[in-house]
Amino acid sequence: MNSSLRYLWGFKFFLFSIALLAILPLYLKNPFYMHVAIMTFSFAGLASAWNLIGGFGGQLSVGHAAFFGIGCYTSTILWLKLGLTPWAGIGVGALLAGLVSLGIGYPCFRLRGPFFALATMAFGEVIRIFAIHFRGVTNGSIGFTIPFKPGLRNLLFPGKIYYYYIELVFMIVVILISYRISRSRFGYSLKGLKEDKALEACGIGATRTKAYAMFLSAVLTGMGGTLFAQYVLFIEPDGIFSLDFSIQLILMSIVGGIGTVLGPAVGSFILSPISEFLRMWFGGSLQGLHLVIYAGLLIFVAMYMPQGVVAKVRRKPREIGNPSTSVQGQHRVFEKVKPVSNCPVEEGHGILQVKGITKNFGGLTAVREVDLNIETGEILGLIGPNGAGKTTLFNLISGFLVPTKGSIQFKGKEITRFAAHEISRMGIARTFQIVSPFGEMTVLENVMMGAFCHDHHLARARTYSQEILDFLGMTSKQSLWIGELTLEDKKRLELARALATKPTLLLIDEVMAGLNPEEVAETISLLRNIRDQGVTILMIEHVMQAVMSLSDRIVILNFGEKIAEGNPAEVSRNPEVIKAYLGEEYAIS
Amino acid sequence: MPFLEAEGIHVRYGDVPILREVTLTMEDGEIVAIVGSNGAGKTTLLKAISGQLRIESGKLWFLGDRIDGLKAHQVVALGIVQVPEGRRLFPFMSVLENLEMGAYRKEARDGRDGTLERIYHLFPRLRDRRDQLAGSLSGGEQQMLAIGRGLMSRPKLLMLDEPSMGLAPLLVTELFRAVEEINLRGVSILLVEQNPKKALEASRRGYLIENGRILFGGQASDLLKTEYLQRAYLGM
Amino acid sequence: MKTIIQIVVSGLLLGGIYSLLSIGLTLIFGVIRIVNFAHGDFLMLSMYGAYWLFTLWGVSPFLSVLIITPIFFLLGLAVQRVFVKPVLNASSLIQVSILLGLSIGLQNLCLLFWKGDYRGINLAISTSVIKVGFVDLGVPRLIAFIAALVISVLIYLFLKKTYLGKAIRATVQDRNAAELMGVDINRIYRLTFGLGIGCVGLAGPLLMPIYSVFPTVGLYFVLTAFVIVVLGGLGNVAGAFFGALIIGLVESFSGFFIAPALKEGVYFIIFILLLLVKPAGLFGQLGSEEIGAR
Repeated sequence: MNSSLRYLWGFKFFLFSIALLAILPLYLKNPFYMHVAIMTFSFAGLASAWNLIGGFGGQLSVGHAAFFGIGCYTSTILWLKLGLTPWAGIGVGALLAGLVSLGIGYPCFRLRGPFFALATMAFGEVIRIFAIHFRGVTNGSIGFTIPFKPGLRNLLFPGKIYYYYIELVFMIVVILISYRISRSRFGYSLKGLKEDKALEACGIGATRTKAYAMFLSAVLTGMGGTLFAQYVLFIEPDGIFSLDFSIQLILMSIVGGIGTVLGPAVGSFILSPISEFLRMWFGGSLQGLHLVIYAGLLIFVAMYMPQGVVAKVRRKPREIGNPSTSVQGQHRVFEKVKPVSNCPVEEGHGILQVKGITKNFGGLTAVREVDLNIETGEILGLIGPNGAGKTTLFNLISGFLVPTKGSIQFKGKEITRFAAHEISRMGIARTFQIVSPFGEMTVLENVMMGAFCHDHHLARARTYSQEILDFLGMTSKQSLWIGELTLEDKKRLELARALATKPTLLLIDEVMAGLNPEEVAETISLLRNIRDQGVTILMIEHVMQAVMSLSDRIVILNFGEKIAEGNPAEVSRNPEVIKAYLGEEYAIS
Repeated sequence: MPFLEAEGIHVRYGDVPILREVTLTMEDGEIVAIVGSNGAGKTTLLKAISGQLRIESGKLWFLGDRIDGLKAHQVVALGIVQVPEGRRLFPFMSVLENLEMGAYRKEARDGRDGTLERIYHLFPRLRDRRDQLAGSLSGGEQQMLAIGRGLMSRPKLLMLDEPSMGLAPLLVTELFRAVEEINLRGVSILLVEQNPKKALEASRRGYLIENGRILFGGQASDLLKTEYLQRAYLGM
Repeated sequence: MKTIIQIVVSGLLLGGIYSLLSIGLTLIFGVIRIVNFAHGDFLMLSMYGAYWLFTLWGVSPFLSVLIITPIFFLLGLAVQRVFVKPVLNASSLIQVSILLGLSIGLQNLCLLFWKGDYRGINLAISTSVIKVGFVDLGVPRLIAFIAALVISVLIYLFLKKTYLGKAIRATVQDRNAAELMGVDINRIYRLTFGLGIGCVGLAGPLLMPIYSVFPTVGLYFVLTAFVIVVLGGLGNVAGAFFGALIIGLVESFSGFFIAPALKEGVYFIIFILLLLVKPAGLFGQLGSEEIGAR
């Protein structure tokens, strides 16, 4: 498969490099070079760990030094004060770092990019200050010296070569974890965080996903901290909890390729030797030089090659075919795919009951006392002029907004205040008025995100997604990247993704907008097909010919209130409706 | 020479083409309506004329000069002013300050007080509320303020994007009355509306746009009668 | 009781100093919507500027401020043009990287040239004190406070009364609408950045008699400034001034009742609480969506 291709290339490179590095010590006798190698591996692992939350998760943490330091200090303190072997200390330190990361993460995840960066930066600084201040625990500015008593139990070794292999293993472990994540549902969820609404619509909670990544990242960073302490044997707050450290991790990831598996390691391989050599040549006299160079590099890379080295080297596979040809052949039978029914619909109830739903935004009432009853298996059209409250109603039903008043029941169950991803899991799927595909994924991967709602298994999700794409006539486009799609394709993709979540109720928001009459006709037929497979549909639409021909019933909103309801013929003759849309006296005889 | 002329305008939003081959003309002193369903490209057209969106290909002339490719503030300096969809007032500035901002361009600053008086005459409620924060006005008042703000720049061409949106019918009538009066004073008006009847009744000529293309252009009264309009709006 | 009043007064004076930083920062954020991580490092630069002018040529900081401020205004224009303008529409990752890079670069350039030693100016005035009743007012702090007050009022009037100032406010509230009024947005960005850095240029020399300068001094000030900016509401100049006074009081009190070294801890807790509970700040509504509040 095409997406495997790019990994295969990287994988071979990776294996080859590891083999090289494993035998390198035989030729590398100079202790300084060994030191450079050790630092390189250590930072490669640390940067890769940062990349889990910073690159994959898209949350720019500028305070990772805190987790590093917690790892360093915890194992050291436990060893020096309680005699606990660092083998256990490393675990305690890592766990502590992880817990602290959740403590700082949860309140701050909602913050946008720069503010998250700011909050974590402040956090890192505060930890440093605490470390200096609480001398009783941390020995303040004096720091700790670990007495050099080599022995396996003490995690201390007589020669650099041991540390070489330990740090090499550390680096490999972190990279393998990154790799494993990138090929899993979790990894895809992380990639999808940039479109957090779409992610929630696929039944995946955004905050939870970030928390996992943060925790894992902090744990691994903490472990790296302990290993580092065991090597350098001296730790003090300004060196360990430093902002410069946090920024180095960012820099390495960006230079190498943020969000890629090998990128941060590549970045470390480029930057760590530079740093160590500069330190050696200029040491005290030109202190700060390597950081000036780092800063210049950071600016340069951010401006001119923000994707980093790895992306320049990697090639993107492309699907052969002309993306502008329109899709033909609509009537594939959708037999293999059945929507998930969590529980049978109770007699006498429709599939969705909305009672008295009201939404206020400050002084503005967007939706006022709306009642809605959707029968199982029907297509209900929701129309009304711009600003009538239709999308707000969708957002209320699908859990993206919380109602000010009123209740919503789905299959007899109260779902009024449920979170969006929970509602998706229960069987209500939606599309978005402004199409929100996941940017850095192929068409197939986008649909898989929907399949992940109920299936965590990658291969099964892929197969299922392919069936759905087949049903929608998009098989030839499955390997295309989002940027290569037409608007109609993107809308169809959004439908596919929603269908992959196996909904019983599908909310469709203006899927016809921007389509030409041919495409509209195709979509009408498609929606009928979907309904025939057992999916109830609620659709917002402005393209009247579509609404009239598709809907069993129509509901009209204006100024947030329901002004009419009925079948298409009734509604189009209703004077209120005509007035709302076309203006007074626009009588249609 | 035509007042405003567009020829073969193409505009994209990212990769998606929104306007295709749009061609239209306006004469000095006209009111021209642009109608069409949601997403048809009406707002995009105004943004392209205002210089807020890049015109991919095609030409745009105003009073004989090419203006495609100009930056937004340069277009305003020529006398083309847009009253955007949704009003877009400065919520934490007072009514008066909003109006003053309207007169930002150099030519409008002299005689600003005179213009202000005329706008108060047109929209008396604005005078009463002049120290109130714009964000606290009602929908109708906000629309009046938005138009007043546009007028403060003494435009030659005033472009209104869905001015009737969210307004009660009575206010809509008042609004269009004001639009006519403004036009009588010599301001040409390009009117984009979702509500075709009122817009076409107020205009001399109109264009119907769908899916980014101009489908019909001609006398407003003819456009009103077309079946196409009926079908497009009610799916009959 | 007398101690309390002294603490309050010291706090207010301190707050005045902070306001010079926070006003510039809030304007930059409000207008350009970019978080200037390097703000504190420009302060550091201007402090070094005052230091060297004094040490090499005996120019009193109260005089050099007249030279340094306009230079920093121009510097702000240049930095905006070179570093900020190219990435206005880029992802926040890129913007943060560039500004962090600028920050680290400036810090370490100064470290390279001038080492990490703490450098201070000792003027006779540094320790002189005016006594008002039982309250001691340190003269340099008083001067800084008065300067801050004057500047804040001037900027406030500028924003309120002049057309350019209104254009800046308009850009903060609705950039697209401002554009439609004929405002040249790029020019406004340049100007705002220049103004922000100019304020910092003003603050530096005034701070030299009070604080020592060292390469990372900016970090401390910038974090404080950010807390103030969030507290006062992003883009809100009056909020930045009053927020600064509040933080000054907080620092003064926490320095007295808790350990002085822990005041950053106190800020941080305030910062996080703010972000969680009232991201719009005490005085503002703008920009909360930028931070990420729902």
